Amino acid sequence: MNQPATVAVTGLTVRHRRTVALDALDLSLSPGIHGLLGPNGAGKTSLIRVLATVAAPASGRVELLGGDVGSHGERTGIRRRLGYLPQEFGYYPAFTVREFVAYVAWLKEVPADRAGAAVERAVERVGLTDRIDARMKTLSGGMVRRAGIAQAIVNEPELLLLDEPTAGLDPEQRVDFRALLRELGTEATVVVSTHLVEDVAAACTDVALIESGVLAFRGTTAELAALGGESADSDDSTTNAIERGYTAALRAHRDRRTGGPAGRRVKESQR
Amino acid sequence: MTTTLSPPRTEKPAPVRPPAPLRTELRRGLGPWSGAAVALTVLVTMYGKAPEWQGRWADVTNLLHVSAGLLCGPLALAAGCWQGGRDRRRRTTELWESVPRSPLRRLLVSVAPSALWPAAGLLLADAVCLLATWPYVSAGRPFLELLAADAVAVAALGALGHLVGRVVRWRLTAPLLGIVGYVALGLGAYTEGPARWLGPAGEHQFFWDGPVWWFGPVSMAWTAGLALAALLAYGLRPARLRVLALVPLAVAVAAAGLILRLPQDEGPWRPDPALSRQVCDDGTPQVCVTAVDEGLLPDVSAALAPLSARLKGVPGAPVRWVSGPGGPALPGDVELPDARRDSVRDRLARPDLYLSSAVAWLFSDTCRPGDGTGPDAERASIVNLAVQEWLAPTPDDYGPDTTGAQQYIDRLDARSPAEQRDYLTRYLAANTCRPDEVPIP
Repeated sequence: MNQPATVAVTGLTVRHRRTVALDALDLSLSPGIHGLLGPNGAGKTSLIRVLATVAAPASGRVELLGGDVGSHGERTGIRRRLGYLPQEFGYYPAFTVREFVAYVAWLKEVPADRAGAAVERAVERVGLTDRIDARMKTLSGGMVRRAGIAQAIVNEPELLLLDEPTAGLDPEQRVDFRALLRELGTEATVVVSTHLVEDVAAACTDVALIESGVLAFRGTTAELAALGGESADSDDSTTNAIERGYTAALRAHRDRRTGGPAGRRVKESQR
Repeated sequence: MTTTLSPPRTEKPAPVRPPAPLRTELRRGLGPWSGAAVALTVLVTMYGKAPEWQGRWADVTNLLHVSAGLLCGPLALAAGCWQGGRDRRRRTTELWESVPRSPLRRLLVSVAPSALWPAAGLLLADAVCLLATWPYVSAGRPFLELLAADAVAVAALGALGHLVGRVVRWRLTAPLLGIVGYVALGLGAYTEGPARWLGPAGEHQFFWDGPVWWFGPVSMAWTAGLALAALLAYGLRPARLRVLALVPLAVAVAAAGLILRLPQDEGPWRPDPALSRQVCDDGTPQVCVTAVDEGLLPDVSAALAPLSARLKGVPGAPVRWVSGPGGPALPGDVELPDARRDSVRDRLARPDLYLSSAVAWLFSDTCRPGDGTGPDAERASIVNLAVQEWLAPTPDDYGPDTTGAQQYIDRLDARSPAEQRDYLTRYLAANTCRPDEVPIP
């Protein structure tokens, strides 16, 4: 990774009351598509929320797109270049798709003279052009998710944060979405938080695996797949390989923490 | 979903200009419905009471003012509160916290439907009622500055309701706030003292008065200043900027100070000589009404004509029938009942009733405690009723039973005109508070 880091997180700690969601996490991300994997409750959403400038960390430093999130003035500049799809995407049902995406464009301070084209382009990229003037409440679950992605990309963000973006999409829409991700990842830093390994296998160049608030694995998708070793089944797919790698990395991390055997094996293979 | 990066530009039409966020907020959601509800509430209320206001600017303004304060205010509070809880219900808060647009600007755009639609609905209803009044008024002008102040007050209540909806996380807050608002505004309207003029539902009844010129603008400064201070205190970031909310708060407090210095009873209302001046006909006796009721003068004169004919030349009979703020000012003046109460659209609806009321007022002596007693009291009471019935028969469906008085009515009818005048002279000269002085026909 020779490109400069667009996300630089140092010693990030997030607490929810007495629970530590992220524990002194260090992470740096450059342009490309980064899968954020981890079991439920691992801290993925907490990290995404901090990166989206929605939640403030208990401690640590977060630099996004060269600016310090802790500074009020710099945070506003960062937000202009940020796209965010929350896990629970909320919308106004009475608005049309065009109105809603335009509303978000205004909130993201997209210049008014460019907003019309930006809205239409974002809606076109998610394949909702034929429903652009339909009310949000008339859309199916998958369409609402696509409208959510459209609002996230309307400002052509340099840092795009997607929390479970494929939830509610049917298989065909997922394939299209992954293609869109690959397209977006050529210019921006895209962080996709997901528990679906196939999304990572198909679209992500890098993977960060989080478990219990700490980084359990960091590497390319191929490196994660390699951790799983060779399969005895000749028909084994890439997805299965990554699933095996995911499981191996997770177990190794747990063993490292507890001093078990899998941790030693992974250390050796990473060497 | 398509991933076409560069579609052929020559085939693409120019992008549609997206609607401005303010326009979208105003078009969608609860806003238009709240405006319609306010307009409908006022119009239905006013329709049911049309005879009470369709004739004087002061009456229509007053009833619109009370409707705005007591009905539209709570409605705006509740609708604003529901709108204010929208982001929580729709789960958009998370997304909005990640955008660069300042919280205050976001707040001002989202609060617009809560404030502007109820005000627009009220102004529409105001316009309809003023137009319905216009053909039937005789003098004066509509107090537009007070109606504008009402609209600003309703908008302010909508904005405050919106803020409550944002802060309080409970689904029943909106209806409860509406009920609490109704009770609070109602109590405020009937409070004694100048504080009631701070509330948007304070009532005023005197139709020949006009408000002091500054009351409308100062009322607007009071309500708008309060709402703006709350909006700034809630929406300004970072927190140190919230001190700016003190500016509109200071304006509101200064305006409230001016209003609280108004006289307790009449508040901002002062008699307007142009409205209270007497307009008289050329009959005998003269009939005089205030300028605001000039249009009713021919009907009033016609209604009193039979009575005037009977009292013509009788010593002690009225020289002038007068109505208005000064009351009977000269010897021989007799006060008239309020003609507007018996009128519909600038016409006396029941001249017979009005005549009956005028006769009752003519013979209404102010008696002291202990008067009207004694052995002749019952008979005197019947004679009084008989004289009034003879001069102006009460319509069949109104007034007391006159069976007992019929013998005296028959006796008066049987007399010659000269004897009738003679009796009326003695009757008018008598003190009817003293039963033994009341002459028997």
